[in-house]
Amino acid sequence: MDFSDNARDAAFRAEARAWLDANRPVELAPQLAELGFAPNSLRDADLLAESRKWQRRKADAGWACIHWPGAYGGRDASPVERIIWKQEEGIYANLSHLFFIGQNMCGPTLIDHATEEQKRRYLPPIVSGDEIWCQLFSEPTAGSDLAAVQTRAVRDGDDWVVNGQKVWTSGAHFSNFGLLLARTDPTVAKHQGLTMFFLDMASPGIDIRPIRQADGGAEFNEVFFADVRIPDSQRLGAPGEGWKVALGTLMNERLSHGTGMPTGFPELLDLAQSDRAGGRPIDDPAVRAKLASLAVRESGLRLTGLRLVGGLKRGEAPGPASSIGKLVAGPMMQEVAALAIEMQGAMGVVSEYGKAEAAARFQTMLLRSAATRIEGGTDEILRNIIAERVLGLPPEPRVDK
Amino acid sequence: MEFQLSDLQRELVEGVERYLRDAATPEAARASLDREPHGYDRELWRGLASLGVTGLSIGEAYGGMGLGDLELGFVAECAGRFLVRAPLGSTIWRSAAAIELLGSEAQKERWLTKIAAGDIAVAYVDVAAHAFAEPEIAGGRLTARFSVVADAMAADLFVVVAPGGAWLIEAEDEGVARTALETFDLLQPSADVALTGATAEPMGAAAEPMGAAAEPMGERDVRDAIRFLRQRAAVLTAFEQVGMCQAAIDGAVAYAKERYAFGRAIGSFQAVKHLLADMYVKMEIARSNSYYAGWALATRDANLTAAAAAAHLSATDALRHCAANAIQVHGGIGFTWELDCHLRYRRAHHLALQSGPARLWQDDLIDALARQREAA
Ligand SMILES: Cc1cc2nc3c(=O)[nH]c(=O)nc-3n(C[C@H](O)[C@H](O)[C@H](O)COP(=O)(O)OP(=O)(O)OC[C@H]3O[C@@H](n4cnc5c(N)ncnc54)[C@H](O)[C@@H]3O)c2cc1C
Repeated sequence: MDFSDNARDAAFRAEARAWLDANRPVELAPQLAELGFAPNSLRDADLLAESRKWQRRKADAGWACIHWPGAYGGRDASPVERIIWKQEEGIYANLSHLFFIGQNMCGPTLIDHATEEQKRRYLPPIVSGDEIWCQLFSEPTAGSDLAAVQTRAVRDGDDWVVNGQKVWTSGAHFSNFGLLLARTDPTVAKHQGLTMFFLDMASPGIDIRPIRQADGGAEFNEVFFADVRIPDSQRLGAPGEGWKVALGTLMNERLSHGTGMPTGFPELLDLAQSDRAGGRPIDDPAVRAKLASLAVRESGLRLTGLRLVGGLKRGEAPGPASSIGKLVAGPMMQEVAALAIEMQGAMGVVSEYGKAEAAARFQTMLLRSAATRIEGGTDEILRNIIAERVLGLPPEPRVDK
Repeated sequence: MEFQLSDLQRELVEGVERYLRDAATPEAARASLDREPHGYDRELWRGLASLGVTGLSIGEAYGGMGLGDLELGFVAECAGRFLVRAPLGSTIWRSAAAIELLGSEAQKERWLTKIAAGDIAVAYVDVAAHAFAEPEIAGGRLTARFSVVADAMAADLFVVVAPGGAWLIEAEDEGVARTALETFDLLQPSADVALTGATAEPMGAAAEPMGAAAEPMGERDVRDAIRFLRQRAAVLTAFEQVGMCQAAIDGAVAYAKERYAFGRAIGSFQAVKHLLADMYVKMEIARSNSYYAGWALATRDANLTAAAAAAHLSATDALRHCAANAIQVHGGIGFTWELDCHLRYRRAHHLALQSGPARLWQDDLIDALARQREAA
């Protein structure tokens, strides 16, 4: 157990830092620093264009998706090097948000299940940001109960023909490809009748309709499929193995959430130290007690992330323990935001950029963090996973298995 | 960076675990409690000594193993998983380090060898936490009243530290009077201690003029030393608390699998599952904070103040939560004397008090983080 850099780590850190110093888009720093949470727009620049520019620059120099194999555009970096890179990239990682699903969920699924030829075709553009991916899993009647998906894929010659509907598909409106979980055999038990595919989002028969979110944004969509054809070569895993493939995707998602969520605590501490009408909030013992309770979760979360990622062997898949991260971070963000807004007094309700304090980050966090506890596995589902897969408690009796 | 235990650390912990599994059984703890309600299990203590646990972080020159505080932390975590009725907290987490830090060569020679050998128990008195009035020292004699001193009845030696100095007092000195207290922690008893002109030998380094030799961390400064010792004890206790969380969870999970109600194992009820999942999450957060603090302690890292406070606060919170809910998962039988749940529930609340008021640790943590944030 050693939390400091050894000589090899230090050399890697120096190399990363030198490259970043010479290449990062410093002109965006002020805006990126304000985007600590759920970055979905830049004030004075086009987020997609800037994200792609930064991603391309990193990819060209071998600093994108660094833990992926070099053959697919990565750097074969060790888990510890991945940690170091993330620490060094800092606020510029906010420019990777649009690629999150492709790089953390679809990409690893391709690495595990695609053919060699497909990996060479599809992975490098994920690394460079040229192609964006989305995750077509949830449906109106299949969320937590993901294995209940009804979207049908029927074999027809060398193709599969897809009909049905997905929902809550983040980024579908600007994605090039999608990872699709579909039912291929309705006659067997529900977990056994699923198959995973990937498809071109420009395929004829796909209709994408944005959904307005509770926080006012529209990051997610409904996606309708009408006789959409997918070549059988774009199947990932055997027919009927879709559930297993999906579990791998979700595990990767949980690890990346669990280790990388900004909780807003450092910014809350800044706010607590500001002079206000009633004095500095940090001097109020009741506030200090709350700050301390958040501080130990902040450090515990960060250090647990280090232990989970850093404890993996090169290329090893994350285990169910990675569910801890989001389970702690989600409710914590709601607490951080609520405490910050309370410190801001009556002005705390103002969410308008330019008028709200701290670049409206706490108002943004307050509204967005409600979704954190739902997306990628609700708090309740994560508790079930920990109880059953980490602690080994018996599953609930089920009528659907 | 490395986030696994080293082979040496793993072997060390496995060795201690094997021994404690046989020696620190619930039956042994209860027998010791009946035999010596205000003492400790001496056979267990000697067993721990023969494994090297009592001398783990004591220098080889004094019969110890000369290992670091992180290794001691992992052993503390392991000990927490069992019902260890032995003065680890007072003698090893606290007093041995105080003697090593503040004692003269002769004092170390004399006492550390005995501690490493498992021959004695040493009680630790941080005057700021245990005395209502300033102790009086005159002509090498100390007069004071200390309340709720852990392991005091069975102690052979007292280490007393105060901003004005540090002393060693032998328990058999005629100026020492002890009154056993009934406390709710059955694993570690406490007593009041009255000193009336007790022979108090000033501890070496403290007796010398301040700053006589430049050492790292201002270790010659008693105030700094006391602060450091307090942090060290809190960190090692945090490891112990994490081990106790693990034991509470393991016991509750095992019971939830075998106990049936409404035709199913109670562990299949989601309310029970979620209770256990939350216990696990709190434990892991505390564990991560503790491992980091153990590393910061062993390396004398500049972040030790914040790290120790975070470890203490999160491990205290986690253990209180786990100990209480382990009883809940057991239902009625969890509230029986016969089951071990209450032993952990009791000790959880004793440990929460032992390192001093939460408010002070919260202040340490927030002040340190605010300074870091300002510096950044
Ligand atoms: C911002 C956002 C982005 C998203 N992006 C995507 C995406 O890109 N791709 C995608 O496929 N999906 C996406 N989702 C969907 C997300 O994965 C689902 O919303 C989530 O899995 C919950 O499913 P549900 O909405 O159907 O809720 P339900 O499953 O209906 O849950 C409702 C409530 O019931 C509880 N519940 C359900 N089952 C159980 C159980 N077994 N035990 C205990 N409690 C239970 C839940 O915890 C919850 O509180 C996104 C969601 C959000 C909010």
